[in-house]
Amino acid sequence: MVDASGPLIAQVWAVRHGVETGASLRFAALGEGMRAAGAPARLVELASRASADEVRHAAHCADILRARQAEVPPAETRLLFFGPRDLAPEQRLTYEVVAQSCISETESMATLVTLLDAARDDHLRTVLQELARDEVQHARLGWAYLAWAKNRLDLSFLAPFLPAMAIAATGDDLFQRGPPEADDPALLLGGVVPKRDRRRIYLETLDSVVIPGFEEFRIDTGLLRRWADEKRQTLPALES
Amino acid sequence: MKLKRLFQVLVLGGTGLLAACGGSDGSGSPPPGNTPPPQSLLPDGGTPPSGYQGPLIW
Repeated sequence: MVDASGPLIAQVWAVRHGVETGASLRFAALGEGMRAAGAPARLVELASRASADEVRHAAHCADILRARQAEVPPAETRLLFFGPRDLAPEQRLTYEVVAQSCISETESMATLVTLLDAARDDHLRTVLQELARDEVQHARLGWAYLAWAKNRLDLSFLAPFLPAMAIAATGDDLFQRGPPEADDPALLLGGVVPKRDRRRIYLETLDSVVIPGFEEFRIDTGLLRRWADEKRQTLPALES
Repeated sequence: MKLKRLFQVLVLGGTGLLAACGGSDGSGSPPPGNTPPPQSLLPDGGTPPSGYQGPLIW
């Protein structure tokens, strides 16, 4: 336990509780959308299972918060979608699947991998292993969906939206300066990646996983690369 | 699993998953009859993201 960083660690797990409960709502809706679009039953099933997984993950977050004598926030009840509403139905569905699975879940896997490497506490390690096992499937769902969707619609419409998806995934906080304790390496022992490392992991995962993934589907990643480069250039100032 | 392996595990794993669940494009059965495509595939009640500042990632 890292007592000095306790409040910050609890704050991060509380945010994760909201991330998980919100994702559960979105995966349920995405699964129904896939079913209506005629997607393979396996993908619909994966989305449905992902929705249930996220509820279980939120329960783990709540357990960790209670173990730290921290308050468990209410579950997210808003079904949040991030794409423009004037997209065609299959485009809108594709936008949301890509934002959720290809970007957010793929990026979350990178964080989990980092945390697993650093975990020393047996309970935390067990939780992280369970989450990582599930999140692999949640991320794969997005890439599998794209492989199906590429034969049904022109995926090039996604290109101008990719930076907005990357921004939505990070929220407003990641590329803002944080308090000094947010960079404390000891946070890793509480299941939290120090903020300066999170920024670099986020950009490295964009470069090495997300962007090459989109390029597998011949989606232009120029704007996303430019966004990532701009963020990379802000790092020295944020870390000084 | 290290970061450099994630492309293989997630991206290639995902595309492989589709191939494994049915043919080259994995398409499921088409909707019965000549049903027109639905007007919407996602609920209209989705709350706009304005005001939401939280992350979607861990």
